[in-house]
Amino acid sequence: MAAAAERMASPTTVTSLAQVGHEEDQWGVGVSGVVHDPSPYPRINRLRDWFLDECPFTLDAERAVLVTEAYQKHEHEPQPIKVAEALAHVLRNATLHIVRDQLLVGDSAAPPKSCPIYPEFSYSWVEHELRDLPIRERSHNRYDYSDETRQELLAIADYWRGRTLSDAMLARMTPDEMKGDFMGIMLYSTSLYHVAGVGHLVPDYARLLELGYGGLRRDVEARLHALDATAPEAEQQRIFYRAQLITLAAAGDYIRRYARLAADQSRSAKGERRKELQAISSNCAWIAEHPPRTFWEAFQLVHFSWSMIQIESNGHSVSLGRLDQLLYPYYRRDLESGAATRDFLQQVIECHAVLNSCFMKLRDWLTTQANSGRGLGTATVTLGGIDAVGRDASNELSGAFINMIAHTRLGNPWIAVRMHECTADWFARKVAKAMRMGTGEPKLFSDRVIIPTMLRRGIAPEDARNYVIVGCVELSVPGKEYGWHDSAYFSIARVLELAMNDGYALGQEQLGRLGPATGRFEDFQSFAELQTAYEAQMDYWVDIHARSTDIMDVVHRDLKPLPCLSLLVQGCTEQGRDVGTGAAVYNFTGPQAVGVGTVADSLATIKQLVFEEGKVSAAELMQALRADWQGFDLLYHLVNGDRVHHYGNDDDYADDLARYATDVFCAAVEGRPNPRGGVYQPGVYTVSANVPFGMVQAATPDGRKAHEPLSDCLGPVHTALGSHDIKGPTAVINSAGKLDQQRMSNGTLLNLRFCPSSLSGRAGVENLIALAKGYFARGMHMQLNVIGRELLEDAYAHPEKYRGLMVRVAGYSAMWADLSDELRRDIMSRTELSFD
Amino acid sequence: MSTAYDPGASGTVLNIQRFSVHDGPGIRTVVFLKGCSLRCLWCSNPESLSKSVQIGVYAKRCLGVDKCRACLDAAPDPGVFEVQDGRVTAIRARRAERYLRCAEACPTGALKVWGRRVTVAEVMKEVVADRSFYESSGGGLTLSGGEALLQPKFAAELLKAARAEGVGTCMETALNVRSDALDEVLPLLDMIFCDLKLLDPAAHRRCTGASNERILANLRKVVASGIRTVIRIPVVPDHNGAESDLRATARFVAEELGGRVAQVQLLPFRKLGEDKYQALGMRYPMRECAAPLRESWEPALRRAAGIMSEHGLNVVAGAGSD
Repeated sequence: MAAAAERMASPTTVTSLAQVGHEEDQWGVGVSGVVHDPSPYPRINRLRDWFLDECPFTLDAERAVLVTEAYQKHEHEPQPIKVAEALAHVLRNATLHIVRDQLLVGDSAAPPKSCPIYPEFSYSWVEHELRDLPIRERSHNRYDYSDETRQELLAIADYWRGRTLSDAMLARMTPDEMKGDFMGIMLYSTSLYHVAGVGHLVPDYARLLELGYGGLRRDVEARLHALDATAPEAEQQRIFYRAQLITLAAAGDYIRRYARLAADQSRSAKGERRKELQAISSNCAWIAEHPPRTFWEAFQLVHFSWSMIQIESNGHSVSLGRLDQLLYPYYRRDLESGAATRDFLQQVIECHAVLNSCFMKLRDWLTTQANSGRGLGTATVTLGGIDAVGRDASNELSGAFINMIAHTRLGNPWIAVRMHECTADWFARKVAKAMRMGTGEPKLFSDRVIIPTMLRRGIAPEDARNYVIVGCVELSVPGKEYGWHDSAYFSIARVLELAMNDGYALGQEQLGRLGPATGRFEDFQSFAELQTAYEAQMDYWVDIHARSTDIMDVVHRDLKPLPCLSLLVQGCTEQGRDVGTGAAVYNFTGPQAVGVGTVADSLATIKQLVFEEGKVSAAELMQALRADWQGFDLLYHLVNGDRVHHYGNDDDYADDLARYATDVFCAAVEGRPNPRGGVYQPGVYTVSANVPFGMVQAATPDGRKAHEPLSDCLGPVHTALGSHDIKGPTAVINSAGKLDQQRMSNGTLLNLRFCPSSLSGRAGVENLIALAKGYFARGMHMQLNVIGRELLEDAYAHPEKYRGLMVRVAGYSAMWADLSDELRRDIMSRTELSFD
Repeated sequence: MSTAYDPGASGTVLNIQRFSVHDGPGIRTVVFLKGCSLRCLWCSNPESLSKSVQIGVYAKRCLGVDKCRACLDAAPDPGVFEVQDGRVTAIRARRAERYLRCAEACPTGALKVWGRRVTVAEVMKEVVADRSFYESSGGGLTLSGGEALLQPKFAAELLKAARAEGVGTCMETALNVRSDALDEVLPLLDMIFCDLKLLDPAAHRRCTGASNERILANLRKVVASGIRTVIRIPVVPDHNGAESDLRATARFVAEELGGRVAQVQLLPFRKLGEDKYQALGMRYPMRECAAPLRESWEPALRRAAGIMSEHGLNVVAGAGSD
């Protein structure tokens, strides 16, 4: 770090905002969002400036207060009715906003850039932070609020004590189920769904667009009417349908409230804006009941549906699916009929990017250390890929969404592009040009690997071809799957630690033995003995973690039914059951491994230096780890140097061990039944969890010191002493391609970082496409960071100068200004793959 | 053409660099062969000059002989190492091969070995690992140096091996080599990058240690062969950056080479490699020269490109392949 500190002391000369052009060849390389007026449309540039500069980040109490009122009023109703009434109460009473210049409407039950609060999931941390760690005084992810808001939020704390999902989970968990979780040593963490909603799916927008809310209501009414009252499940079904009808009535009212608000505002507006507001009003009045007629109405309806699902629950990554397929018929028809111009439709898409960016989620202070995004986690649009009969599905609208990325550079919605052998050249090039801007968007996925992967999990062929991305990494079938992706981050590096230390946490032996007694590394005579211990610890901890996860699953089912979401998940309305009960067509639980590189390099070090070359004894290595390498300089340098086999260099010795490390995890996870009648499926990615997991782990044999981050996603190790990969991106890609990614059906991610010059010019575009094609024979998903070290170092020294600098964190992009110091340093230290 | 090659042929390689994107079309693997027949004042790769394996010493990385004696213990004659202020600062070895074990024992990389003897088969194993990237990008193998043609047999066998494997071939050369070495490789290349520093023979000798007659003759031969040729000119202020030098070079390329050169690339001088000179105990000829700033070299390079373009050449500033 000393060298980095020196560099930071002399800030470089990177300054102000770059001028970029609106045509795709002029989008810039490695400039991210540090640009002036990226959109050709003044409206969008004004909205972008408003978003970045004018509108403050705040907390809002309205949703929390309304939900509390409804819960109190409906205390004795069945849970599905109670939650439906709570949503209805919010939709009928929340204050509405229409932002000037906006063509789309629909808030989060809070003002733009304000966090609504979801007390029903967990509330003690909100109360604690309002009292003791003021959220308006945070160093990053700060949100402002008035004293009145604070009082309103504190006033409901008493009601929620003991009533939240989190409280119910803690009441059910035994000490065994807590010792490895985030409240224990954090070998794994189920915290996401412990404190918030689940999300991670794509609702059935196709059905909504076809039927409209009126059609959905008539369907539910008919089913309620047709119920056989004598059937044993009829009472539950009746309650479910009543909850859906309460939701549907409120949804229609909510949309009509916007129609009235737009009409009211139009009366005092002038010129073009007056006409726009009138049109917004009539769009809303129509789609409150009917299927949409135009692209504008269709996008507005999708946004309303999405936002109401997010007002119901703050689950991460409720995603938008293949909008370039779903909305293309409207887009085409509008252009052909002359109902709208291309420029207007492009502005609708770009307005959505700003509106979507206005949805905020308050995270607890500890979580923001590692997961600093402010967004919901968020809505991903999937573009391209093959269609139902295997042809290239990319179309003009796919390209329009890529233009949106370049024109807005706000990071929302997230964009995932499906690539395959026949992806049209123009589309692949446009995508590559967007990727090299350096905003971290879009991310690329391989149809060639993912479709067979989904088939292996029993997904029907037509559904596998229609797959979508939800959130950062995860794969799903739109409208049919409740995948509980991201159910837990699971550190296989910690599993190895316990396998070397007889089931004790290294340096925390006073906690007692936590895992099975698998022996001390000092006593092992062979590498195989270590493998046996690793496998036994893995089985044990995957079991334990699944017990915690299943408890959460059941608590979500019982306490937080989702009648609004269940309207748009196939299987729910048909069976009269909530999505939480396993009514979806596909049900999975998806935990993901953290620390692949750390374990691979640790195993390679041990195998080579201890058991093959005898350069170090097992006892000496353990001493070095206990001493955090202090006093073991030679060994510390040796294990971090290129004389030891390291993952990420296309070196079979280490790559085979990475494969082994992940195969053991996958075998322990895959196929295990979950409470919704589905199975567990493994993923291998960290998003940014490698940082907090590293913070709580002692030194590891790969040359990592205590508290340093674990390796990122499928990437190689980088320690304080240096990066372990020395052969560049093609070698990293080849190494990652040796893992059995077709088992990792919860998703994988390889992050690559380039210096801008290696991707510049026409050749840079072609080379980037070639890299992706090379990886996608065996790999699922890659993302790029394309920001020069010079720029990042200046941004580190002067974050205030870099509004609009968006960086790829891992799995998601976030504004630089919103990141914690730890995360900023982690991002700077990742390998920059430059070979100038 | 025969695709037979000798997998056992061996040579001295400085480095194999994958994902190179500025040394020929597409994604390439550049194999740097050790040894050069020029001694350019501005050279930033002093470790590439000698044909022999060399050991450099980065004193800053040495842990100190009180903590670590790994290199001293591994040396047949520890006196070969110079120790100052408790750190190893230099090695005074005539034949570095005898001390490879010392470098291997060094935990921090303070001792750095430059060059290794390898066979064609060993090099090709690494080259073909990126085959899928070559295929989709139009890339392949690029031989570079040092001077790739100082090991003509090895260079030719590598190129034949690449052809046999269906891997594209490029070479970077300064052309100060025997013409028969060139004759052997020309039919094996898809594209060639030739350095051209100066037209004035005396100035050339002053800056590079050798006359340019053989270079110019070889360049005529390269162009006559019809192979796609790019000329690379390092533009070094005070040495070859004057307008008269640029125009002389431009006239030669335009008139004597008959405009058959695909592109002229102007590369900026950057003050790099001083630490490597120091590690080798060599004197950096440009050490007095101030490091040029991007603000000054970028416009200078564009101006130079403008001047040379006036002679009807396709000139670009930088190694971009656009």
